[in-house]
Amino acid sequence: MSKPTLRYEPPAASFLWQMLLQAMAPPIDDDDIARALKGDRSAWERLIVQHGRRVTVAVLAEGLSMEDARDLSQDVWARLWSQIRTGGLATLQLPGIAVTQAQFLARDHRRRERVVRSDGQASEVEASELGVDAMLVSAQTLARVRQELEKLAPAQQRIFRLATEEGVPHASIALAVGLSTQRVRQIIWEVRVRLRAQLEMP
Amino acid sequence: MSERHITRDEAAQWVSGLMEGAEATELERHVETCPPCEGLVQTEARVELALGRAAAASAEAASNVVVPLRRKPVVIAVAVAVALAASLVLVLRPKPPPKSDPMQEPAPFTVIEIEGEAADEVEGVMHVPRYEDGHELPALALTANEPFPL
Repeated sequence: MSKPTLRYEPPAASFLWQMLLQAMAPPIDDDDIARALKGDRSAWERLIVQHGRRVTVAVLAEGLSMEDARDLSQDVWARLWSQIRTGGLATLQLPGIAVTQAQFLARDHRRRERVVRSDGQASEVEASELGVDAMLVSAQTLARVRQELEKLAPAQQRIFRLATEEGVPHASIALAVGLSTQRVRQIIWEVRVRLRAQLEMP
Repeated sequence: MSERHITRDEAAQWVSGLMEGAEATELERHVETCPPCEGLVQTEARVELALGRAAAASAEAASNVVVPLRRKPVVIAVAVAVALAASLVLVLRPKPPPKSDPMQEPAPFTVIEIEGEAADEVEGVMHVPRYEDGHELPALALTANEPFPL
């Protein structure tokens, strides 16, 4: 896999322009979270659109099928909304809380599924998961990925973190960093390809 | 897309949110009915989570590093703004009245009224300026070795 050249340095002349854009950029989803906590259903639906994919991906990563992942994600959002409506949630940190709950439910679902399945199928699933997990969870591998990420320009690191870690919409990132949405998406993809290559290294 | 298997790049684009709209819907539909492609998406989903963990660890490490001031544009911008504001205040503030030079001022004087014989001589009350610093000791009195008649 070829490694693209990745150096993005914003020109010094655009410094003030970027600061202006950052000042004008709306808060990512804080307003929607505040509204949702007050019971605003439309704000809650916007949050689901924004973070829904990440929750589904978290469930898929647990080895569930696409269909189960979709159902379980919907279940997570419904449970969270129910907790909000009953005043059980004073604060809401997304996508973190939804992803954590989805992973918990996915593991529970998988445990129950293993009991139902035959022994042969269960052990097969477990073995394949162990292989991938061993590859990804290795501290050495993660350190290598981290080092590769830190070699990138600060703007690239920031864009990738906002997208991957915080689930900020690409358009909001573009507004925050003063680039086009298309360029932001391109940077995310280039960084991902580069970091992905580190995971494949022996 | 439902006619063929998805590629790894397509799976990666879907999990990282870079594939949207009809293309994403079509991929999801295909993956639901194709176990090998589902496996591909699951693997890329694990990759996505691992990259997210690495990014989070990197961000945490970066927050513990002391960043040189030249890499803190907001701090620099605030400092420049404060300096400019201070300069403007200094330039535009109203100037205080100039302090008078004591050497140029007229000596203070006391208005006294002369009464009695002197008043008769001047035919009424007149104002006579009198210097207040006229009570000092003569210079010789301070250096004299003997009692000095004042």
